[in-house]
Amino acid sequence: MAISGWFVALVALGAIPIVVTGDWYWMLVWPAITLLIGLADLWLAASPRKLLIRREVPSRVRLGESALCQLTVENTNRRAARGLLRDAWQPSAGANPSRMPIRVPGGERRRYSLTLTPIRRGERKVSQFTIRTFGPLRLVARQATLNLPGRIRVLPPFNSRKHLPSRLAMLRELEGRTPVMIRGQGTEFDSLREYVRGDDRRSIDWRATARRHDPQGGNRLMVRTWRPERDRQVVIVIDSGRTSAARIDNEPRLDTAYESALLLAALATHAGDRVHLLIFDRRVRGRVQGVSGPELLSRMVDTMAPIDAELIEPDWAALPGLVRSITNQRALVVIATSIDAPGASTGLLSVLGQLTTKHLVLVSSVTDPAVLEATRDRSGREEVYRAAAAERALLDISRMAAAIRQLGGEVVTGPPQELPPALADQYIALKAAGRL
Amino acid sequence: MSTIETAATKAPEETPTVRARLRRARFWILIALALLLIIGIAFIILKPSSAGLALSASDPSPNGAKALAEVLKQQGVEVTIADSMDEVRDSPAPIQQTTIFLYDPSSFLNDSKLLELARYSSVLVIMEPTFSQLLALAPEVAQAGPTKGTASAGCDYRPATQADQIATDGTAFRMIEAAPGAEACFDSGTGTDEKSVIVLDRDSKSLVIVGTHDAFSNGAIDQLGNAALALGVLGSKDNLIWFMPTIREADAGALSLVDLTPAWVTPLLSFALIVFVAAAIWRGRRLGSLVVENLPVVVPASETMEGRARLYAAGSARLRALDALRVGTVARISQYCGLPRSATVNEVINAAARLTNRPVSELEALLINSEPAGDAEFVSYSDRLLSLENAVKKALLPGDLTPSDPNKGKQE
Repeated sequence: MAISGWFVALVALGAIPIVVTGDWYWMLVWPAITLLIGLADLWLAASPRKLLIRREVPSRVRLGESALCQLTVENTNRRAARGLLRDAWQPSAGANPSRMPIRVPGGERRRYSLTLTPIRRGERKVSQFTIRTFGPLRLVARQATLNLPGRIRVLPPFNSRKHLPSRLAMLRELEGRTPVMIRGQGTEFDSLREYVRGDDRRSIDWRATARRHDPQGGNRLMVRTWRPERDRQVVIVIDSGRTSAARIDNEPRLDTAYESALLLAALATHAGDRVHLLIFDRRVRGRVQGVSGPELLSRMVDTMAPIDAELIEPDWAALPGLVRSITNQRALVVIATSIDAPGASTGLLSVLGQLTTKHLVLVSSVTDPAVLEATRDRSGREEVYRAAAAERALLDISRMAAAIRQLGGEVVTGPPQELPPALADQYIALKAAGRL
Repeated sequence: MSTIETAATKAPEETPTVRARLRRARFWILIALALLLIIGIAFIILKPSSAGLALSASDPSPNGAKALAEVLKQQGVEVTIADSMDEVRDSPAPIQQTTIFLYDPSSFLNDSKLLELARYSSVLVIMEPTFSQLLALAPEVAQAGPTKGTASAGCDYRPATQADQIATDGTAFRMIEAAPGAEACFDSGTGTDEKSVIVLDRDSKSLVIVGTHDAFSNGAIDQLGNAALALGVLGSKDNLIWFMPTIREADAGALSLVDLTPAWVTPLLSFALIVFVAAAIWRGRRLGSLVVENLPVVVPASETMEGRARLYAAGSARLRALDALRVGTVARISQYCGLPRSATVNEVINAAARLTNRPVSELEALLINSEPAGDAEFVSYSDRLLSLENAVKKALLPGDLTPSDPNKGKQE
């Protein structure tokens, strides 16, 4: 049961007889009258329990975009149901409007819709809805909360997809789909073709030129073209341990890792490589394996969506085994983690040697722009000490990077916005150098 | 995109129906009803009484005066216990045969009520009158402070002579004007005319002012002639009204705010409370329960850096902090000059000295050797490091890379 502001106004009207007569008697009589009117109104209100509701909601939405949630309200009362409906989504689902007026004649159905603009990645849930139906006088309402679970999966935003077209263009240049071919791009022999101005003269195949008989007379030079390797294995390992929970530029490291993994996966599938994803800390939290083509990205975002960083130390010793379980061939192993402190990363360093003997290992780590900024601020005593601590942090990172390079790995670092394209560039560079 | 549909079957209910709710709350409703019943019965049975007050006629404790009242009853005096003026007014006893015993230490009665008491009685006995009571009824008598000890009658007032010797513990009074027919008894013996009982004649009625508070109480009435005095003073007539006014007799002045406000103001204010409760119910009713959501942990990444900075500052680890700054500067200068990562500090210093035209020894002192003595010096070193870095950058800006080139050649 609930009362409306009109009911309060009706009660307040009792002030008039009290002022006119100055009698205590009205103090009891007027509330009794309003109570009777209210009870009559309540009796005439439609039962909220007899409203049947169907909720249609998209199964997934990208973070930052909106989805339409539709509610069909069927009134099995004989009376019209007028009142308020609240679909109790979690606050981070960003339901708007959070409550809406409804008016459904008896025996009919109406459709209402609300937009969901989630503000956090993961599973956003709704477990119940509440209906308040007013009587014909709109004084008193019946109210009931009914269970009707629903959910929407909020996928990582993949903001870095804006970098994809430029990187794809670079890739196409590598593959020779552009007229300008540069020798040395790729190591796999592709084909012979006629020389055009701009080709590297070192790629002219003299033997093929000599063999070629030109019907029109004269000699045309032939050049060899190369294309990058295809069907290489790319294993992306994302660390979902405690260091990934840290926020840099108001974005958890894990989300940056997702962004760079998605961009790299999009690029690598276009380049014809096989991409596998592994999200793990002490156990495998998510795995995408053996999927190719357009389905890969959707499977990846779907796997990533509900996974948040946990405050535990990742079990790096299990990593070589996990990579072996995915592929036996030589692969590009991209490890998205943080290399802030040598103490915290000893686990990673101890297994890196095992990985680099067989695979090409690329460690990507987010750097904090706040640290770089702190090194430049020398305005006072506190700030200088802070700058010293920041320098010390940078030194730690560079020592870690040096250690990783010593073990045969590659390192890519960058602030959250720049890391995904930097990783993509590194991948293209590796591909161009034929190191995959 | 595929959609999840939840079927339009009847959803399980979260809110219990009114009947279910009543059933669940039955125990508490019964308890509340029982409590209300008990409170109501108690309200009806237990009326407020004067028991517990000093000199109350129904209090058997040492401070009360039940013994006196009971003995008076046995002697045939009709004792009526009153705590309001109305009870005194409604007394059926004839005024000629009525004694009123008034004990009002808090001065709840105003002057007109006191005079009214004098009218309703043939003998008015006032126990320990206050200043205002004396002013209204006996302006010729004044208070003389507390007194203690024993005294003998020393007057012609019959109950006093019968008592002969009493304990005078209580208040003493003094005649400050001569009054015809007045009797002052039980002098304290200090030579200052302090009397414990004063009897005044008022047109064939008498007004007895008694200060011997303890002599009338249960605890001390059996000592000396206390009982004889008390019985004599109070038992002279057939009826006795034992009047101890309560706070309800007090009035709040001539024209109070209540008299000036219209009659509807108080009901309206009370009614506003009802409206307030209704509005509270209106605003307080939630549209369904709160929704639970797990929030992510927020771990600011730069926390370790800030912590280390505070540690440096707290421990005044100037040299360590300065070394960190130096390492950063050396690394950046080496990067600007295009030196390899493996370049030693001395190579970087040489390159920087050549670029900025500064002596090598100065840079060595700045970048390696010197130790800061205090925080001010530490800050100045940091500034110099920064200016050196800027100088190197500036020297390289015009695109003149010659100074670093031979260096590079040496490295390879």
